[in-house]
Amino acid sequence: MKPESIIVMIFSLLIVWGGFTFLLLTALKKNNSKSKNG
Amino acid sequence: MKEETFSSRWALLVSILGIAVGTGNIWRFSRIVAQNGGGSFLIPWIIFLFIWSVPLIILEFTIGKYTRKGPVGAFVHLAGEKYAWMGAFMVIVSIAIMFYYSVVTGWCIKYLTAIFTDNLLLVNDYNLYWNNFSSSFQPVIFHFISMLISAFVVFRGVKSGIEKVSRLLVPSLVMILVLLFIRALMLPGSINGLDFFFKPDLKLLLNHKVWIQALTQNAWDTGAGWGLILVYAAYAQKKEDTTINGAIVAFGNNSISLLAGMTIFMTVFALTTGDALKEITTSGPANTGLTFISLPNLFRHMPGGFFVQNLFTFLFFLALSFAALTSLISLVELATKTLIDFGLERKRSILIVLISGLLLGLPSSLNLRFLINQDWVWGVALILSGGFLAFAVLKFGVNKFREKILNDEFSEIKFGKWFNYLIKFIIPFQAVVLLIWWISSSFNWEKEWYNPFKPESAGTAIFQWLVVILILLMVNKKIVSNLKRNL
Repeated sequence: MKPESIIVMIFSLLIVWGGFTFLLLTALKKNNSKSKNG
Repeated sequence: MKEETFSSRWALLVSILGIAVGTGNIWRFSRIVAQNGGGSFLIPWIIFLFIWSVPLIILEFTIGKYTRKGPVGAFVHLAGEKYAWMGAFMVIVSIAIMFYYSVVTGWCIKYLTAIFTDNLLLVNDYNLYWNNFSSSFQPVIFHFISMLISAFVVFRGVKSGIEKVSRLLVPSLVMILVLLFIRALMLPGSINGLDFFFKPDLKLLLNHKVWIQALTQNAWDTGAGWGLILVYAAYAQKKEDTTINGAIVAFGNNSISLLAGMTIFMTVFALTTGDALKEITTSGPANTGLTFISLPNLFRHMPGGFFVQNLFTFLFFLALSFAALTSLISLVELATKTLIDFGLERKRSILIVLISGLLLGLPSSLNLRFLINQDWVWGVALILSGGFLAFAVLKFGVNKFREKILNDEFSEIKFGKWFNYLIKFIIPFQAVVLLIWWISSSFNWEKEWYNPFKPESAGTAIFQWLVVILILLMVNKKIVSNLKRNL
């Protein structure tokens, strides 16, 4: 793979997949703290 | 009667993800990426994820949870009684899409079953196979099957129907795509597909068409502004957050698009002996070329023998059928919820939706030109629906909406004033640009662009929208009085 393709791949995956994972983990954390607080 | 709700946050999220992820993520996305220069397309596509999909999905999510109504009730609540017709227009657009989307879902199911009934991988000419199928009576049968399955799921209710099916189908769809991705990655030469998929051509970033296509892809494949997410969110528990949840749906949808896109590019580049790019970009009738003509032909060249080839063809069409079905279910639910808001019982509403779906889907299942016409007219009308949604919030007061509804006690992120600008200026600007672009583009591909009887003309789109809008304006008062009677 050409270096410029690798850069766009990392950029796209980091933002889209990374963003999705980050949001899911945040939701999970918030959910856990909500259930702890009753 | 106690209001039915989704049983948990995760059940709600999976169900809404099922709306967003449809055939557009799998077959349209790959074709559009290929036609718009691979990596150069992905950059604006990601930008529009932030300024179109995320805000509109959050809007829908919040409006649905706040009003607990379908689009018509929600518009009356937010914008006022004068604008009930806008909510009704949104419903009509989604119902019109349901009529032909059921046919498309039927095609996916047909190809899934064809692996067993017609030995799909032994077919000599896939063009001929498709033509024989589409010109026969079979699309009607498969359209009926799709409508019946979806209506049955909606009939079972939110928890026992939509939630249960989404919990099964959406994770299965993701797992199948991951399996297909791993298999594609192991094919010799697949890396060339990945290389093209991500290769940036900076010159193309200066081309306005690439940006328009990136925005269009976000508008069409995320389900933002269709009214469907609004309907599911009406069944959210009151304590539910709408900000992070909305963003999860938007990012989740685009994550699946990326996964499907990479898989298709790798598979096509590894298995084709000719021009791989041509295989992906060839639209074919009703844009079916890649999915129903190229891919079955390529799958039979997959190393590993007949069993492996059949297995992966089966998995591909299974994923496609799951994606289509979960979206079709939401279209059926939207129509049903609207009738419920007007005072009909759920069972009766579903029966009306099912019968009208079966009958009004017939023209699209029997005539591809009719389906192409409907896809053009109501696909572009979705942009209008998205614009109407932003208008309803503007009429309500963006600041009031943000402070009192969006940033409520359950909201996990508090949105600042920047959100006002996004809804006041950026979303309407994008909607207007998209509408003007698509209508004026039809001048290029249709000489008689003004002729309402040409399937993909500006004339047919504007004519059909105007007929619907005029009728809705005439019956606006009646819509409101019927709705009020059942409040």
